[in-house]
Amino acid sequence: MTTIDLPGRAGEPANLKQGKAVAGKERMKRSRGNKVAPLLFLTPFMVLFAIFFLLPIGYAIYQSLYHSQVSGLGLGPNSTVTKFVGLSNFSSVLHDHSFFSGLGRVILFGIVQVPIMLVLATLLALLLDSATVRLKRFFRLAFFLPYGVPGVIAAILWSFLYLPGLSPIVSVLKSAGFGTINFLGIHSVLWSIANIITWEYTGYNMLIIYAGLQAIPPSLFEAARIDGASEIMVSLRIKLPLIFSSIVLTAVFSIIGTLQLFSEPQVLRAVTTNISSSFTPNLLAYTKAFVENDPNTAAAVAVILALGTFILSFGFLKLVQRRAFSEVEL
Amino acid sequence: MGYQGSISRFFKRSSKGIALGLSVATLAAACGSTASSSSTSAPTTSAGVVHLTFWSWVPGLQTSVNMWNSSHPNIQVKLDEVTSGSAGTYAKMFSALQAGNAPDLGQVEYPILPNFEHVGGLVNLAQYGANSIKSQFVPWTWNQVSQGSGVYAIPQDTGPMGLFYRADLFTKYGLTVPTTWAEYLTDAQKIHQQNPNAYIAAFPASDSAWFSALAWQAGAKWFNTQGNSWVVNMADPATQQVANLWQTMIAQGLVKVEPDFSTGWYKDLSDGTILTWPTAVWGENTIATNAATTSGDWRVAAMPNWGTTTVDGNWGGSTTAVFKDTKYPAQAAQFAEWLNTNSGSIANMISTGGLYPASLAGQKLPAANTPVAFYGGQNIWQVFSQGSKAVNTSFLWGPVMSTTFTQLNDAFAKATTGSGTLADAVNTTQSSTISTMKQQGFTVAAG
Repeated sequence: MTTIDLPGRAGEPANLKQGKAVAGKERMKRSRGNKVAPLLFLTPFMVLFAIFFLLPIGYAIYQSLYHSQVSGLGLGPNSTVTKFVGLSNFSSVLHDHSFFSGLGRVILFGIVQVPIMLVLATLLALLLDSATVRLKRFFRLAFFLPYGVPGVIAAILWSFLYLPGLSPIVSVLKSAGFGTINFLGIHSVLWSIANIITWEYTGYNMLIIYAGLQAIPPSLFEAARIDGASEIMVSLRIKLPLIFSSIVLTAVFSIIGTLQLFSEPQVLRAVTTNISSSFTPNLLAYTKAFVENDPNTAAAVAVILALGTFILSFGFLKLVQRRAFSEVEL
Repeated sequence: MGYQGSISRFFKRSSKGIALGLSVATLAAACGSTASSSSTSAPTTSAGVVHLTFWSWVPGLQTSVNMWNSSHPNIQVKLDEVTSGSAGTYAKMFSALQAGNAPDLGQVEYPILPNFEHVGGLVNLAQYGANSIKSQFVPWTWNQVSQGSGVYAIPQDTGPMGLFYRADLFTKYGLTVPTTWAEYLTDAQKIHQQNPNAYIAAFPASDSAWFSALAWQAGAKWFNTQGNSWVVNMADPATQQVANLWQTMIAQGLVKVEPDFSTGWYKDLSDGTILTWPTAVWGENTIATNAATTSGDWRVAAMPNWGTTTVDGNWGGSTTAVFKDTKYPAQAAQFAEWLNTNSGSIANMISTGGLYPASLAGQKLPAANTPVAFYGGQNIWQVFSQGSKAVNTSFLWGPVMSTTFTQLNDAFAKATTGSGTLADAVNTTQSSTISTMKQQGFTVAAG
């Protein structure tokens, strides 16, 4: 076992710390004279951040604590009042069977789809990076292109490919003797959505991983080749460990994306009856807010989902942190 | 996808609007905050002129508004063209009511009226003489806009039902046009025996508004009030009868379970996979637009019936309501009444808006009473004006109808994929609707 000092990791911190300390002292001196400038530069960001991020979140939390309550038939101007109800919206969501079946569905989706997509993305990135591949630029663009198609459009495109009677895929499979395959059935529709998401985001994740590969100094590969390592060995023993942090990053993005699954199922609802109004937690929040006119419960669903996303993505980071962001051992 | 190019006069598929993958936190919050800034209800008087704001999505309505504005210089109406109610306008209206800045007038579909009534959002128009025009409208519409002696909206259009069928294929398969639902079932079996890939109809599990129209025709009475409490009776014998018929046809594979207004469904209407569509008058435009190649093949007959008496159901239609925040309720009421009784205005709404009027006189206007080439020159409107008079008048909507429809859609989806029957789905929805109502504080007596 040898430990390689990687540039920018184990090798550099000492210098970096020194540099920081020096810069820090200088800044301290200067900043006494000019404290306003950084604040001035930060203001536009802080204002926008507050208006478009903190305020809506705060408002959602506020909304989630109230509920409108009617009495009797509910007729007349004073029959409806909005009351502070504490956490009762949360408890009703947490007792709602449909919330948990939706949550379970996206978690199952994530467990299956995210690994498949990331393995594919990593493979494509390694292939593009290998020395022997021709037409790199073309393939890089080709793999990335689906990401340029907006999610809603992608879902519409795929819905045509899934619809029996319209879909060339269904008719080809049928004439090949596979029978009529129902991509929109009660059990298959989730995986048809997984296919859309994989098609859409593999290229995007590939690009992040590919960028990670580009940052590895070529001298490492030369050394490995001189030592007699094959292309596959270089990929497995050198490239893969070094891009692990990129893969972790794509995994975190994918986990967040999965929990927020919304547009693809929403679009596919137009062509199949097997996607319920609470198919995913986000769809449930949408239904509550915009179909059932119950923004309070919708806000509670949103807050719970945000907390869940926070816990899952940070839990995952915590789990792999030591492996991803510490020294890499070969 | 199946976006209705024209209008959503019928209440359904609220989720058809283009979905944006917004982060949920902002999504939910936006609902409460956007409307307060974007609703523009600022009636100002200058030299005695009253200004009113009107939210509507009926195409071409501006022409009617212009007619009013030129003949009523002192009451000027400004029309805001909004997206159809279920595509977001209702959410916006509810938020605006909460914020106290709703427009003076708005377009509201019948099933949603009780929703607006129960938040105290509507002005009782009886105090402005609305009851005096009662006799000018199709009877059931007046029952749905009034509560006791109060009148909460003026009926605008309706959706009486008829049976659209492929006359050419009926001849091919040797069928007679069904006059009862029993005959409809027999026809369904005959079609399927001769061609396993052809069906008498689609069952749109995700469109429970369509099912409600069929239940309405069968004599169902889902909601009612008794003293100070609501009576919910969705699982009544009439509804069970409808559920059982379609369950039988689903079980025998005689109908195709697929969403209506979807790409696949349009294709099935075009290529003869589906032979009939029991639907409302506005279905005329849906078929003509989306199955254009079948021109001349379709005809319309009266709805099949459950007994010997002719009863019709209704799917869709909307009203003009006056919101509580208006400063000029009398003038707003006057406009709402004029809009839906003036023959010039109605003629415009029929020809450019594609509406079928709730006004009895309106139904006799030439615009709603001429043969249609697409239907082989049949004057299909006669079927609907007959149907309109026979619509069961006792059907009423509940106070949380959008939730009820969602619950019924979800339950139907389960039933059509093998867990339970349509009748079970109706029972489930009955109890889930009651629990939603109780949770919101309504007094409910089970029917």
